[in-house]
Amino acid sequence: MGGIANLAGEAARRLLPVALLVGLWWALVAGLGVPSRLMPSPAEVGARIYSGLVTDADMWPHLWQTAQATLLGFVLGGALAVAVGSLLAMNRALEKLAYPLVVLLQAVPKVAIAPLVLLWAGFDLRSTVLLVALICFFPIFVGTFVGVRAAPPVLLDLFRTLNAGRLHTFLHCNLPHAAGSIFAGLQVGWGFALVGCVVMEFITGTGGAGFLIDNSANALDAPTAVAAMVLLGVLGYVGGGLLAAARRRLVFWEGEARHG
Amino acid sequence: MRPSGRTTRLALSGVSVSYKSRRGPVLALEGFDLQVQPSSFVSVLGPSGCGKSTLVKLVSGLLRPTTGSVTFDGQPAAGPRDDVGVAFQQAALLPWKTAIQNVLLPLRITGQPAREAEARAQALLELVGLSAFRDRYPFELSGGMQQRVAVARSLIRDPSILVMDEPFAALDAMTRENMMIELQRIWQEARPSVLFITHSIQEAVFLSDRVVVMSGRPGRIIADVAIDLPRPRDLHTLSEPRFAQLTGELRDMFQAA
Repeated sequence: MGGIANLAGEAARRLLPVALLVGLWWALVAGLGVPSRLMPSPAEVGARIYSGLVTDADMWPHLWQTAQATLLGFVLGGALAVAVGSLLAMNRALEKLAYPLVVLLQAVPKVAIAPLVLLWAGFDLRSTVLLVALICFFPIFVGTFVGVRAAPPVLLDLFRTLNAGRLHTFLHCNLPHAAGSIFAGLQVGWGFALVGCVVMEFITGTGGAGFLIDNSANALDAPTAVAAMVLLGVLGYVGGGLLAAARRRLVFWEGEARHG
Repeated sequence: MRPSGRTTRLALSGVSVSYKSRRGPVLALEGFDLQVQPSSFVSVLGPSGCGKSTLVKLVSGLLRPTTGSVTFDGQPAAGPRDDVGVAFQQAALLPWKTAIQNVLLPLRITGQPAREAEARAQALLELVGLSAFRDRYPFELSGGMQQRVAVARSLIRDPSILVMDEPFAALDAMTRENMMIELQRIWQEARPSVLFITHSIQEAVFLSDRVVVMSGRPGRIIADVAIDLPRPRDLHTLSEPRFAQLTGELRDMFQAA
């Protein structure tokens, strides 16, 4: 099999569902005669994306702002979640004290505290980053906690017979063993992170893809709103794809038939 | 390989181990006495649930006896020791490390110089017949190969005592026979004292200088049989009359246990 033929086949497999969706969208809009101010056709949206990215290039600053806030919040929340998840998983006393607290905090919908976050951090990037961090914390925390806890007893026994300290056991056994589970948390968390960012942009109205959607919908400019939505989807997809690729590379032993 | 004069002898005297379970206290071992001479190969044969795993944990320092004592060279045991190597029922390899990195793990934990250590790990991989597979990951190795990497790892600190907990239990019959012969060869080269836990009479007789038979729970020793088959033993040993006689005797005792 030629490499190029394979690549083309792979691209076709990936693009087929997208093509189907666009086709269905087009058929519905044209067939039902939906007015453009309610739901624009794919062609209108495509044209708006083109102008937003190329001719007018007016969407780049918004996209950049969203990407920046989401990424910063994701890194902050993720680092915190891995640290807290690891600590609680490795320390029973700490777990008893703090785990119920984490679950209790999770019970409050994060979106509900967005106005409060705004009050704390002000109308700028900081409040968006903070909400993103809060909202993606939980799935990554759970992924870490479960993964660190799930280290096989026989491996832990091995480390004990070798007189390995707790830190050593954590770094060389629990943490690498948890890598797959942490990545699962990160993949879920990335989706959450984008939600947090868009919600905050709705509220603050100071820019970003979320602001663009809200603002253009209010101005009855549906093509811009849908174009921003599509670009947000691309951002989510690219982030998710990068995480999946990193997982395959770093957790290379995952899903292999035999384990030690 | 080992500096001469360092001859650790293992002794368990009057050892009993009890622990709490959901159904109340369980007595795993009771009045257990066992001595392992330097460089001798002793197998412990017992029915499942006779406290064999408890015995492994005692000798590897993961568990302390409730009463009685575990001593090495007359010194009471206090936790895991550098001169005891352990091979578990599963290979227990780290899936993210290559064969040689897995063999090196015990030395990495104690922080020994890498250069020297690597030469030694390479030599051990050669000993277990896997030098060509040093950079393979566990999932690229067969079950028998993984188990051999685990044996090499248990030898890296040059232990004077090697504890093996049914290391071949998960392998198929053909691989097991090969592993028996391999292990005999490894033992004859490295000469540690071996405490080999098994429920296979054939394995015990083939490998050992002595076979100790345990009763059902609470585990205690009900027979101690010297195996006088000449070494080195090979696959023909399995069909010798003396081999059949010894396995027969042990089978009778095992049934009685």
